[in-house]
Amino acid sequence: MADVRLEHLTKKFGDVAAVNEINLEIKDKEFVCLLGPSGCGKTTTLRMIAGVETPTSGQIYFDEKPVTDLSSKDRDIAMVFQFYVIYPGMSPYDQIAFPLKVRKVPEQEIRNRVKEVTSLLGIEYLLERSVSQLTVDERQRIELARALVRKPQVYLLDEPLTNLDAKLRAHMRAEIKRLFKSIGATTIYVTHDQVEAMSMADKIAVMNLGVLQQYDSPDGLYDGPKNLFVAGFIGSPAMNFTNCTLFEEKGKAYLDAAEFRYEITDLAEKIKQESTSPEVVLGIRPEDIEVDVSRKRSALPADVSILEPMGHRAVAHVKVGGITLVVNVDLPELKTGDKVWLTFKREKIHIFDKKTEISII
Amino acid sequence: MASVSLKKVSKRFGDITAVENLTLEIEDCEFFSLLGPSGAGKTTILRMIAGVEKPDKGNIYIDDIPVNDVPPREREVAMVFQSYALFPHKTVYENMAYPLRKRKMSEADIKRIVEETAEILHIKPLLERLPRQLSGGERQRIGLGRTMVRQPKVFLFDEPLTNLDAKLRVEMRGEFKKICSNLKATVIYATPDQLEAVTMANRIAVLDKGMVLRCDSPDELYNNPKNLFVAGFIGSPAMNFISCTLTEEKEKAYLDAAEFRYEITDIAEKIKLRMTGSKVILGVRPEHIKISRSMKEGYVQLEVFVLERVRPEIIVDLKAGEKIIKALAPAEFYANIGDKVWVGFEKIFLFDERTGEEITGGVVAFG
Repeated sequence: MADVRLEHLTKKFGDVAAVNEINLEIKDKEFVCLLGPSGCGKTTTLRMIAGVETPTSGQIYFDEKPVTDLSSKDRDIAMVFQFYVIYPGMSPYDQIAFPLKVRKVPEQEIRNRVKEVTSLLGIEYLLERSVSQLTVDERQRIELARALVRKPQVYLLDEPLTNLDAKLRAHMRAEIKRLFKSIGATTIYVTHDQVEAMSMADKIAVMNLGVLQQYDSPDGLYDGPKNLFVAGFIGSPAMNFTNCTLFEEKGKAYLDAAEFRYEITDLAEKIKQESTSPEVVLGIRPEDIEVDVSRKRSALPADVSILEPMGHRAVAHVKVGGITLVVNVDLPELKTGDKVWLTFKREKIHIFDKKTEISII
Repeated sequence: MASVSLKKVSKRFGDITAVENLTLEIEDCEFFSLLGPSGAGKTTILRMIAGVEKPDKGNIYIDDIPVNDVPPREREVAMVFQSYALFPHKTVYENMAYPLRKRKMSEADIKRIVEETAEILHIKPLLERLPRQLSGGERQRIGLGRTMVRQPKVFLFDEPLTNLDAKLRVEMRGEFKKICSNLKATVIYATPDQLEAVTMANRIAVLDKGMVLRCDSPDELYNNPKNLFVAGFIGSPAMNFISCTLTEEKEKAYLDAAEFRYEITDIAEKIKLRMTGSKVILGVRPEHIKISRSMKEGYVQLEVFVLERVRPEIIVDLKAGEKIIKALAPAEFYANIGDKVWVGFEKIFLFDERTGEEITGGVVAFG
């Protein structure tokens, strides 16, 4: 196993920088997700680490040893893809044993390794089957077994769960996380799905337009997003954003959102120092807005415009004049059209600079 | 505006039964969802209502009038698909005006209807653009707009949000619900995604293999699923199922699972009446599991398999024999892999293993 370090890693296709000056340190045995929408550069980054794409500039290190000029097969990595490569006409055993066979590992050792990984994955019973009988998730497990049968320095996974249905995906998430934890492997996992990244990763590198936005633990990203992009990308339903202007009156400071005013006297100094103008964005997550059905002092009156029941709770879209906020509610009697009163949990609000989109609070 | 009903409808394709003896009553202006995995028969039902597929047996009624022999274009129903074929070289306005042009409507009327529809869908600023200049969600709305201008009595939706990315799907769900409530039309919405169905529909028909397993409101399906399939299909993360044997000892009754034993003396008599053997499946929703660091009365001990920090709550995966049980816990909860914790069930369901039917006759709540 190995540390992986990316230094000023850049990949240009023509004039377009698919990956732009990425610096990233992945520690030995860490499970790291590269997360972002399509076109963010996450797969290109993974392919450069794998050695199937050559960087335009920058360096890649495994355990402080530069590998940028090494070919893929000399880097000692194993890859798992979203589309499983099942070799036709081969038994499940041979599928799994393949990477060892091409490396001319002795037959007895191959048998032992295949036995070890199939028992780890709980798929010994598949060895007797023919490949054509396998279900989608069984094929995915064979693919995983083939990656695990070797003990490479780094495992690279490219959206391996994308083709599974929602329920199986939820199940495999936990299984994969535990698996890579238990073998203590350095793992880099690419996904566009924030739920997948949040549930599995020790640390997540959020990317957008080829640029690394933030590199932190799931909780770190959720509680302390560094910019608007990360704040909006992590969490579902997404954080509410409201454009505001900082404004002062009689020794007090407010965020003026046209439809409402929110007092922030204690934060005014910090906002003034760090913002480029009085124009800011107020961010608050759906679960950080308290909803009451009776009038409350200094609470914001709103109307329920859409209710989405989800079993144990509901998501409500509420209107404060022309502004719609999404809130989580646990009020079984609530109906569309009801009047409610909103209170923002003070310690949970986020404030971003409108122009730079960087977090101030 | 119209009611739609299907009475004892069957449809086969060669040897495959797509829909089997199906009866549904959909009320005027209802938002009705057909929910089921692929192959459940959802699309075939929509196609029969639209008239592009003919039932082998049974009758379809729109506003109580049998329509089996009425051609599609005279049924005043409209189908919206998951892929919306917009004309790439026509503007949004022209795309939406197209069905009206075909009806030889006057320019003034076309303009009025297109603009009204664009208003409802919040796409007025897009009317002069070409489809390639639009995002996926915008294109979806144009596809819907082109259907709306025809002012059908019934809208049939076939997985309209399936091709959108996760974030956009969440946004569109709410918007869609709002738009449909303003349509003043009956909406029949097919989806494999339970979250879409429960958040949007007034009532849901849960389908499997061409049959209706349950037809009820989202709340009823969640609170009182009545059978294993519905219980496992509605709710996310899904309900946990654990195979158990009912055992009795010294006047007490227990559910014996591989890793734990759970006392249910107070309901044993009741469930025995409905059991066909001694095997039952214990069903517990992740949100009804409480985790404690210390021992508590009625709690069972399990091992932490892994934590998934999907906020706002987190998912705690617990190991029960070969099974993984998913529980929801507050974000403050931390544990290491392999930690032993105590686990209590606030609410359980019990299913007969052979028939899959719920046998407590409703919800059993503890503490």
